Amino acid sequence: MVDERKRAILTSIGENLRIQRTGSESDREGPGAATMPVSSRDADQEARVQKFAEELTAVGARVFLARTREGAHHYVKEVIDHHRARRVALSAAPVLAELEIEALIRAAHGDIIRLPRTPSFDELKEYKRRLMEADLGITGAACGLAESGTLVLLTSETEGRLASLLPPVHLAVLNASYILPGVAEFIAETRSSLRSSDIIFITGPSRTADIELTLTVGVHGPKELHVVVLAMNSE
Amino acid sequence: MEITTDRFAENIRRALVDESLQQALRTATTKFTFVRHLAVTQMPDWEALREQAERIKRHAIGHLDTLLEQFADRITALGGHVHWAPDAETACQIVIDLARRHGVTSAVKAKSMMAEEIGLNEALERAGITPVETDLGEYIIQLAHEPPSHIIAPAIHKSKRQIAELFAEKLGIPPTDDIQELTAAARRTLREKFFGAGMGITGVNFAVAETGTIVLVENEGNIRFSTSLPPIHVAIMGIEKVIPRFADLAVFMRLLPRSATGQKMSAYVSFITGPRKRNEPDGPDELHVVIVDNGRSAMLGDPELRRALYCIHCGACLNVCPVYRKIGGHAYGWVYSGPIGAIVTPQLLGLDRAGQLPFASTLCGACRDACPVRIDFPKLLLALRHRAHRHHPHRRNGHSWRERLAMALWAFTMKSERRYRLAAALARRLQRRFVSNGLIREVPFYPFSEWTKYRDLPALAPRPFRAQWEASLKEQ
Ligand code: SF4
Repeated sequence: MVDERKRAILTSIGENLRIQRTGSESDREGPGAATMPVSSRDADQEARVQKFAEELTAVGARVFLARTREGAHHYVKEVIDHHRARRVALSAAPVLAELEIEALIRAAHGDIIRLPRTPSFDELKEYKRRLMEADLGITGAACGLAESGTLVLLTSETEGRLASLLPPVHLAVLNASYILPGVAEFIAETRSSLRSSDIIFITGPSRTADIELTLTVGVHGPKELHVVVLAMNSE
Repeated sequence: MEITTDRFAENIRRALVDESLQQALRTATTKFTFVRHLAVTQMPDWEALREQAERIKRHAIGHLDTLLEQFADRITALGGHVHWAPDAETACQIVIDLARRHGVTSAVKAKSMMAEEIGLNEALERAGITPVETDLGEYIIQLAHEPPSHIIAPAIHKSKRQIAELFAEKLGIPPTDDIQELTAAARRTLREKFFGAGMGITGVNFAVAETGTIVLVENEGNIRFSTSLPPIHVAIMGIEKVIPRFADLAVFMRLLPRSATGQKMSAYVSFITGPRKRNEPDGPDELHVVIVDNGRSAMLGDPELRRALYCIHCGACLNVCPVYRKIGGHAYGWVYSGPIGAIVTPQLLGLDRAGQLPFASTLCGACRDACPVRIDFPKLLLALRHRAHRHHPHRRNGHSWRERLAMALWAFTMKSERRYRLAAALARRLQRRFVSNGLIREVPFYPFSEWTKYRDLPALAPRPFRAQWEASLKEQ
């Protein structure tokens, strides 16, 4: 029966399109190929990082440009302390391990909520329940988009969908060298990202203007977004 | 939802005297138009992008059968399930069956025009499954039992005072005028719903045939919740949502947010390619895609009118439309409103019920200029008006014999220069009785009385333009 429905719809489409074919062939053979104008690439990385920070700040996020490891640590610690974050969801992104974020959380006496590994139905449920109570979610980010101030998260073994969504505060750590000019470049260059079941683009905190068009943040997702950009490999 | 399109005139009258609606429409449409304008003027290659978007859509609609098949194959290969629904009832039944099979009693929903079109909420309720709208605006109007009034801002017709009363009654919170607090109350309530729901239902902004990717664009995060938290994600899409290539998204990702809300990028965009992978920590175990026709394939027969299917639901044409700005979304009587409603609804519901909509336009073309996929509205509206006339040669859509006589006389006069000049001279003489300060305020007889009932008529100049022109030529 399912196949019947499929055939019914596809046949109807085919027949109706053919009516038009006698009139003009253009729709059937049209090139359709998207050759997209790609924003200029010659802007150097430093300018790109600046633009990224500017745009992301404009939509209400806080961006910290970390020139040193200590600087990054200090900022993350401040966020933890400021929110008195006791329960922290921590993704398994390599950049977080490298920075030893876990030790920071422990030093602040925080509980760590880890991503489950190939969880069973019940384990996943338990993880979600714990996430609901998290004060802070810390994740990596695969890249940034300068044009719009966007973070891109790719789901994988080490990055999930929920740690950046459920906690009221989201902190992401991003390597400055992964900041691309814009969404067009990301789409053109990052075909491998399709290994992820979800590519998540985040541009600022969750927002709505549904009541009297008044901008309000934190309607469903995080109320606060912090981004630590690691730009310390100059020496 | 109840369809009231056949009571269009009545709906309009009601909207025009609703002072708070008029206020809300004024603010919303002005604001959306303004922010869109700002965003667009900052994009040097805007016109090139629109042109590309139109080309991609033309290609996609022209190859819809092969592209849909490709898309469906990809989804299946990724471990998802595809369901085909020729009409609204089948689509609803598919979702209900899925819910029953998994013992789902409540489903969270993220804004979907298609769900609205097929009446999914009502169908789920009848089947004993509770649908919960999770977009803040949609949630508000669901609590109030009202249909959405704007694609982007479904609850713009409600004031914060009204929402406060509603929340106090339904959610039991103390009445407050504070929008922050109202939002927080909704956040708390909906968190519970997300957590308890067995199924998340969303629409689809774009469906990529090449990769099987579903794109969802939003600001609140409720779509991410609906696609990530419940164990099953059901995405409902019209057949027209499919685009050929992953690379095409580069065009639409830059066009849609700017056109809809003037943002460079919406707060959240999700590219969903299949259900949760085995090595991924979270996400739904099952992904179901329901592909709905519901009258769309029949629209493909006409190469002009099928362009209505290019629409990416940004809402830009609504905000710039002088008619929509006065009558709002509810007047159109169904899911789709504004200029896009005027060209889609008659094709989906039929001219019997929606034949009046194409006439509710000044043909100013503001919608055409705003539309990111360059739908040629005036052309389509005229084509539909022709259709409406052919469809009802006798009823002529409420046009009286007097109107037809007046039009015939007008046409007769305009067809010859001599007759035109004569008529103009006559009119110049006759208008004297009615003119004051260059305006004709009231004419007691038909057809002019119809016009002056609502507005003034500018008087004819004392000397025709041609005479002035010829005189000036002689002077030189
Ligand atoms: S018709 Fe064009 S302008 Fe109107 S909603 Fe659709 S895409 Fe936007």
